[in-house]
Amino acid sequence: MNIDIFSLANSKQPSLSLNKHQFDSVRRNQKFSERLNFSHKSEKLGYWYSPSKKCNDLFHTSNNTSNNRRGSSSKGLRRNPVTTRQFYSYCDSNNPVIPRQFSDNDKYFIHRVADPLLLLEHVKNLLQQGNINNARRTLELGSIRYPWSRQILKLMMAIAPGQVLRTGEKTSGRKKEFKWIREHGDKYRGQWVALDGDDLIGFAPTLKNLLAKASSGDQQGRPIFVHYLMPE
Amino acid sequence: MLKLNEEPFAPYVANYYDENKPYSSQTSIFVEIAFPGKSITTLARLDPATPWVVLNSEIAENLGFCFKEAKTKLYTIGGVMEGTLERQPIELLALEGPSLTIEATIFVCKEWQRECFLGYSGFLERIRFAVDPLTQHFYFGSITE
Repeated sequence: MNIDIFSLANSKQPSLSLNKHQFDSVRRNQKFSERLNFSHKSEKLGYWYSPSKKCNDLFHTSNNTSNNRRGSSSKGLRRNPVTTRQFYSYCDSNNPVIPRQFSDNDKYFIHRVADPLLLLEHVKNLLQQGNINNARRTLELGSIRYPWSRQILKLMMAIAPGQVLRTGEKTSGRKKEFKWIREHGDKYRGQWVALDGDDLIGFAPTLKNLLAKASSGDQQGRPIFVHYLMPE
Repeated sequence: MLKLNEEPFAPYVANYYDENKPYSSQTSIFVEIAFPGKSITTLARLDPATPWVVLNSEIAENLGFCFKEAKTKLYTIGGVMEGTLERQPIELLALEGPSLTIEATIFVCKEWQRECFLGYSGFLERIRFAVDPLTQHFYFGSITE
């Protein structure tokens, strides 16, 4: 089932929790798709999104390019006037997330990757190599190329830089707890411990058991400080 | 308050716990974190070499994550781990000044039975931070302030 990403962007209350950065990204993709004259509502226009032979938009596959063009003109598909150069210039002026200089990785993606699953595989490889910035950029480009792909959107949201908010919570500093761990921690290696100041509330081999023990104590609504002491 | 060019740099303060295990040449620095809506706080190790936040599997389970089919690999000191990438707000608790809640990217892995790690891309890239070994204070602030 395709997700209607544009309803997310148009709605005042998006059904997914998007932060401002992600929401802006969706809006940018919407604007870009409108400019490309993509018809997201019409799933009949599968050739816009399909990596099949009829795929003849600016992200053409390396194979059968001329055939694709012929196929396109025979169908009278003149609603896709955007060239690769226009794509670059559009991204340069309208999408500050995408850098002016496209890396080899970007070019590889734009020209060669004609399937969102291949794109996701490529991103996974980048993530495994620890190449986070390239993975983010590829997903940004992928969300433009495949604005309906829920998997791309989900992964893009998962690895995007997160929002930072100030809150009113405070800590006591935990100096007593740190002192207790230094002095007595070795006796409890391989265990979870719950501490309140320099008092040991409880210990257990699993967090579940520890919380069952500790929650019965008098914490006066304060959060319980727990720590796992790694075995040597 | 730490300042850089007369501007606040990392205005909030917390204590940190450092651990130097006798069998290891590494010193680990731990800070206190909490999870909004949960009544536990715990320590997490600062590790800019790790890309994501990696939570102990029991804490991840306590937060309600189920261990789905592993999709992403992560190279760790314990070997190659497989898990999924998820979003979770994590609160960095302050002794002075407000605490910060950061929408972190966490690596959820059933096999991760070690301490929690705060990695760079999933968490630390969103804050400025500094440590003072003399007082064992951890200074931090948002990069957007």
